[in-house]
Parts: sequence; structure tokens; C-alpha cells
Amino acid sequence: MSVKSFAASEGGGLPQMDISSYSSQIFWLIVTFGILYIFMWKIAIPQLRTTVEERKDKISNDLSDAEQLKIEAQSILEEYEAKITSSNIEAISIFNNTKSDIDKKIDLSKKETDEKIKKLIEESQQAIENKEKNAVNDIREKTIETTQSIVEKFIDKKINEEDIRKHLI
Amino acid sequence: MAAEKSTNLIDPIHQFVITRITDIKIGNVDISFTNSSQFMVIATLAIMAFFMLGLSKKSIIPNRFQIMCELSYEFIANLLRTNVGDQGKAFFPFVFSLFMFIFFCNLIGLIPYSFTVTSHFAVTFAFAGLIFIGVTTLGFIKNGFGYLRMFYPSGVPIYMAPVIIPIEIISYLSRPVALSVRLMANMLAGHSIIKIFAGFIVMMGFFGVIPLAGLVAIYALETFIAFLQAYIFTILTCIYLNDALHPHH
Repeated sequence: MSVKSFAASEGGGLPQMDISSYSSQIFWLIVTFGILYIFMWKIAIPQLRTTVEERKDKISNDLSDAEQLKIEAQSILEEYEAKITSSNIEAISIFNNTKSDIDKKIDLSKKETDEKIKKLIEESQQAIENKEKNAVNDIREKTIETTQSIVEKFIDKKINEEDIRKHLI
Repeated sequence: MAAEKSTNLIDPIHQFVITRITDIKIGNVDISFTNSSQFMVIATLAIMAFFMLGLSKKSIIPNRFQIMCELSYEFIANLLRTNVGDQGKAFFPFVFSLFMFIFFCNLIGLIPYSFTVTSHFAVTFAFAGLIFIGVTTLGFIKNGFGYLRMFYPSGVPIYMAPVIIPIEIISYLSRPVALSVRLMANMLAGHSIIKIFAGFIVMMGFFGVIPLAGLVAIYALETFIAFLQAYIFTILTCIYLNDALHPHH
């Protein structure tokens, strides 16, 4: 068998105390740890550092972006709210203006109509009065005429119109 | 007696024996490729595969593997940042590799029939010694001889100096020993206990379910310890680095 123990460990005692194995242990420790050190120093740590730092940068960038977006959203919201308030005010004023316009128009047309009605009433009254007067005159004339003709028939004499008129009320 | 035991299957220490796979020698120095070397290579390849898989599709929204890679990266980066500060950035590749290497060695060691690289004093002390020498050199480069003031904390009265200074020096010098022994002893003890419990299962026959339940619990605990010890090793490295960069505490 090619596997051989160190002499002292076969002789007894702790293998740790076998000085003859120290040189080999230390030599191979230097070789392996040296390789590991160079690997860590040149390959592993720089890569780890860049990934960790990239992530940190990314996170902080994302956070600042989010902050920016939040501020933007806030300002948009404020703008929107201002627009809503201003349009509310506008709507109210439009409503009020329209209402007062309509009111004015209603008032105006009411007045016009009232005046028209008044005029019509007056005219009608006038017409009625005139007709009344005419009718009375007509009756008078007709009465005179009738009286004249009746008297003529009775006495064969034409009575003066004026005479009859005198007797009429 | 010990020689007989090492052939026994239940011997808890047997798993720590280093065996040669290929004999290599440079001069008088034995650098044979052993099972320990083999598992160092496996751990290194596993870590590379882990990161290659995790980073194969780099995306803003990560998949599971990428999350694991990034979590480990962020975990160690935070550890270094909170303990050392911005000046520690230059040492990040080392600290990250250190954590991943120890963690993977500890974890792979938990697989049955594998070998725990970090259970050997040579390996843990090599790391601790490298950190100790590196940190001390860094301290002197950054602070000059002012680094020595670390052994005499400000605010301590002058007559206390003969006591405080030796204590501080001893505690400073014992750092690599404490650092390496802690990791190695944890791995050694944990894996030995697992092996002992596994032996009880075989010995107790049907009633082996009782130690089996215990073994499951210990296995979970050992998995946690595999992470915890790697974490402790790394955080202490960070603290020592901080001491070197900012010695006035």
C-alpha cells in the first residue's frame, strides 16, 4: 500500500504533535491558501462588490425615481383639483347667468303681454262704448222716422223732425 | 498500547492521523502530498466552486447560491468595517479568504471518513503566526516605535508600569498561541466526541439509538461550532488588525 502514516503517529501520541508532518502541512497550506487568496482577491471579491453595489445603486435609483413620480403625481393631483374647483365655479356662474337671463326674459315678455292685454281691453271697451252710442242714436233716428211715418199716416201731414226730437227724451 | 489502539476502528484519535499519498521532497524538506493536503485542496476547490456557482449568473435579483455568496461577503465586510473601520479595506481579501478557508475546512471535516485540516496545530499556528507577524509588522509600519506604547496603556500610574508592561507583553505574545490552540482544540475535541459516541452506537447494539440521538444533537452542535470557530478566528484577526492600526485605546 502506498498510503503510509508518519512514523511518530504510528508510534503513539497525538498526531498533532508529530513535528515531521509540519513541513508538508505548512507547504500545502501556503499553496492552497495562496491560490484561494488570489482567487478571492482577483475574481470573487470584485464580482461580488460590483453586484452588491449595482443592486444598491439600482435600489437607490428606483427609490429616487419613485420619489420623483410621487411628487409628479402630487402636482398632477393638485392641478386636477384646481381644474375641478375652477370648472365648478364656472358652472355655477354659467348657471346663475342663464337663470338671470331667463328671469329677465320672462319678466319682459310678461310685461309685454300685460300691456297688450291692457290695450286690448281698452280698445274693446272703446268699441263697446261706440257701439252703444251708435245704437242709441240709431234707435232715436228710427223712432223719429217711425213716429214721422205713423203721424203722417194718421194726419197726412209731415211733422217736422225737430218737433219730434223735442218730445223725445 | 497506543500502537494497538491506532489500528482499532473506535480509536477517536485515528481520524487525525496524517498519511502520505505521494512522497515529495525538496532537499531535506518533506513536502509530501498527504490526506491533509488533499482536504486543503478539496476545501479550496469547494470555495471556488461555491463562488463560481453563485456568481455565474450575476443578477439584480439573486438566486439562492448568489444570496449565500453575497451574505458571506456582506457578513465579513460588516465584521471588518465595525471592528477595523475603513482602513481595514485593504485586508478584506485576506480576512474573507481566511474565514472561508477555516469555515470550509471545519465543515468538510464533519463529513465521515474525511480529514479536518484545522484540527492540526501546524495549520492553525501557521495562520495565527502569519497574523501575529503581519499585525506586528503593520503596527510598527503605521505607528513606528509608538506602537510599543500599546504595552503601557494611557492612564496607568507610572509605578504600575513594571507590573503592567510585562503582563501586556505576555498577553500580546500569547495571542498566536491562544488563537491557534482554540481552533485546533475545538476541532480535536468535537471530532473525538463524535467518534466516541459513534463507537457507543456500535457497542450498545439495539440500545445504540440512545447515543445515536445524542450523536445527532452533537453533530448539529459541531456544525454550529464549525461556523463559530471560524467566526471567532476571523473576528480576533479583525481586532488585532484594529490594534495595529489604532493602538491608542
